[in-house]
Amino acid sequence: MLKFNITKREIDKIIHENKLLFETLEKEKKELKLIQNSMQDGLIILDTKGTVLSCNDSVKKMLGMKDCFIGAKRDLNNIQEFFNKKIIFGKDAPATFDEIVNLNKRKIDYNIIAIDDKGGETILHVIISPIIENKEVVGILASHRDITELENEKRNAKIEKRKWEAVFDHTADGVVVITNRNRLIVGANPAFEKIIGFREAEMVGKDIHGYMEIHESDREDECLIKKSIERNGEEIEGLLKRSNGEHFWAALTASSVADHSIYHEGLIIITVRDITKEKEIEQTKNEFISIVSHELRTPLTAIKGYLSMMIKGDSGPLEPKQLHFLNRIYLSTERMVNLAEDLLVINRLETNRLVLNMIPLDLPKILNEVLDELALKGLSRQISLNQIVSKNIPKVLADSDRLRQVLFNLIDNAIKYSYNGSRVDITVSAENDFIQVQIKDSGVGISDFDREKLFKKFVRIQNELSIKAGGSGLGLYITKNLIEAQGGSIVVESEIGKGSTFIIKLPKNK
Amino acid sequence: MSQKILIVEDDAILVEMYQTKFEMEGFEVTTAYSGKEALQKLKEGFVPDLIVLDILMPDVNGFEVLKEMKQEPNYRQIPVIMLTNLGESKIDMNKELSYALGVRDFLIKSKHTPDEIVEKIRQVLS
Repeated sequence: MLKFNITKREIDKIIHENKLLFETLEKEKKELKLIQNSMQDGLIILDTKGTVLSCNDSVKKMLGMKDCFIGAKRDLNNIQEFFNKKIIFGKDAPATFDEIVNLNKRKIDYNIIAIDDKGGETILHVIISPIIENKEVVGILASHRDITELENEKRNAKIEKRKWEAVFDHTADGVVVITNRNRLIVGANPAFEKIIGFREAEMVGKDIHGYMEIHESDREDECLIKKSIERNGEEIEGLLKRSNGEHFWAALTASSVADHSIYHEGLIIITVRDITKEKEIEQTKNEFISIVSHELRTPLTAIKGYLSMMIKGDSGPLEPKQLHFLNRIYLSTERMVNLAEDLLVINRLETNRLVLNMIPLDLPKILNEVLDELALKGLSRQISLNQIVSKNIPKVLADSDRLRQVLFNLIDNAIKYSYNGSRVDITVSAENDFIQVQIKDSGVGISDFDREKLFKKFVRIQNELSIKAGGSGLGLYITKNLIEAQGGSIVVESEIGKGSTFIIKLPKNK
Repeated sequence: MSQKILIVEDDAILVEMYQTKFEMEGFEVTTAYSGKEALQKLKEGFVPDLIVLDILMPDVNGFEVLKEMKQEPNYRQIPVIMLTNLGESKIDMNKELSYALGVRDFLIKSKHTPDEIVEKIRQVLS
C-alpha cells in the first residue's frame, strides 16, 4: 500500500497552485481572445478535416458570417449558406486543404470578394497555413486581409499610368527624359524616335549628347542641350542630326523635374520640335520679300524718274490741275519707294544680314543735316524745330547712315503728329556712357494702350493726324531695331493731347 | 562740242529715260545694255567723258567693268558714276569697293531723280 506522506499544508499548497494555474490559463485565454478579436486581419481556425473551430470578430464582419459556420465543414459547394454576404472565390482557391495537411505546401493564398446586400465589395487576400505541433499538422489557419483599398489604388494607378503613357506616346513633339547629373537617357517617346531616327531601346542608358549633338568639337557654347538646360523652360533653336546624318532645325525646351524618389539627382524632360519646315518657309518668305522689294525698285525708279521729268516740264507745259495730279502720283510713288526700302531693311535686320559700319561720329553735326532736310516740311506747317545741344558732346559710336535714318524717322514722326504752329524740341546731352537725344513734341500723344504696340511691325496708331500722315507702320519698328543693333535703346513717354517724348541713348565712343 | 556720256544699264526703260534726260541737258549719249557691250565699245576706241555704270547686269557686272577699265591706260582716267539698286546691306560694302576702284559718285537709282543725277554728272565733269 502506498502511503502518501503529504501534509495538509502541502495539499493546500497544491490546490492553491492549481487554482493559480487555472486563473492564469483563464487569463491567458481571455487575452488571446482579446488579441484575436482586436486584430485587423480576419482569422479562421479549422481542424485538419476542414471543420471550422473558431473565428475572430474581424473575419465575421468581413464575410458577414453566421454563427452556424462554427462547427460546420468548409465546403465550397454549400459555403454560401453560412454567410450574409455573397462570397466569390478566386480561381486558385482550393476545394480541400489536403496539400496543407500533407505538408506538400506551406502556404496557399488566393483572393475572395465579399459583396454585401448593397453591392459594396470587399476584396480579401486569404492565406492558408498549417498549425504545426511536434512536426504534425494539428490544424489550419486561414487569415483574411482586406486589400480593397490597395487593389483600388493599384487599379487607379494603372489607369493613371496608362493615361500618361498615352499622352507621352501620342504627343506630336519628341520627348526625351534624361537624368540631371549624367545626362543619361531614361526614356523617349515615339515622336522623338521618329525625329532622331534611333529606337528608344538603343538610346536608354546612353549619354544624350551622343544623339543630339552635331558638332564634333566640344565647344560648350555650341552645345544645344546644355544651352536649353541652362535656360530652363525657354525654347531655343538650333541644328541637330538624325541617325542618317541628315541635319535638321530643332526647337528645344528643357524642364527639370525634381524626382528624388527614383533618381536622386532629378530628371530633365526635353521636348524637341522639328522646325525644319518652318525654317524653310521663313527662308522662302525672306527671300521672297528680298526679291520683291528688289524687283520693285527698278520699275519704281522709272515711274519716279519720268514723273519728276514731267513735273519739271520736260515733256512740255502742264495745266495746273495736271501738275497737281502728277505731284500726288509722285508723292505716292515716293511712299512706295520708301516701303520697298523699309521692307529690305527689315529683311536684313531679321536675317541678321544688316552690315553696320560703326565709327565715331559727331551726332550734333548729323542732327543738323537731318534738320536741314526736314526744315521745309516743318515750315510748311509752321512747326518750329528747336535744337538744344549741350556743349562738348563726345563722339557717338554708330553707323553714319543708320544714325541719320533713326534721327530722320523720329523727327519726321514728331512733325507728322504735331499740330500746325506747334514746336518740336530736340535735346542732345551726354550721360555716363551714352549720348542721349530727346525728341519732344506737343502733338496728339499716344495712349498707354497704344504705347505697348508702338514699336511693333505694321502697327499704325489711329488718331486725327495719322490718317493725313500716311505711312506703312514700319518706321518705329525699324527705328527701334536699328538703335538696338547699334547698341542703344529707345523709350517713349507720352500723354494723350499733350504730346510725346522719344528718348534714345546711343553708346559713347571710348 | 557736247560732252559724251556712256550709259551702261540692262533695263531698257531706264536706259531710255536717262538717255532722254541727258540729251535734253545737252549731252551726247551712247548706250550699252551690258557690261560686255560697254567693254566692247571701249575696246573699239570709244572714249566717253563720263560713264554711268550699273552694278547688277547679266554677263559682266559693273565691278568687273571697272576692274577691266583700270588695266587700260586709255580709259583708266574716265570718271565713273555708279548707279545701282542693289540691296541695302550690300550698299555700304559696294560703296567702299566702288570708291576704292576710283568711282566718283555712288547713287541709288530709286532715290535719285534724273535731274539729281544730271546735277551729279555736272559736278563730276566741272
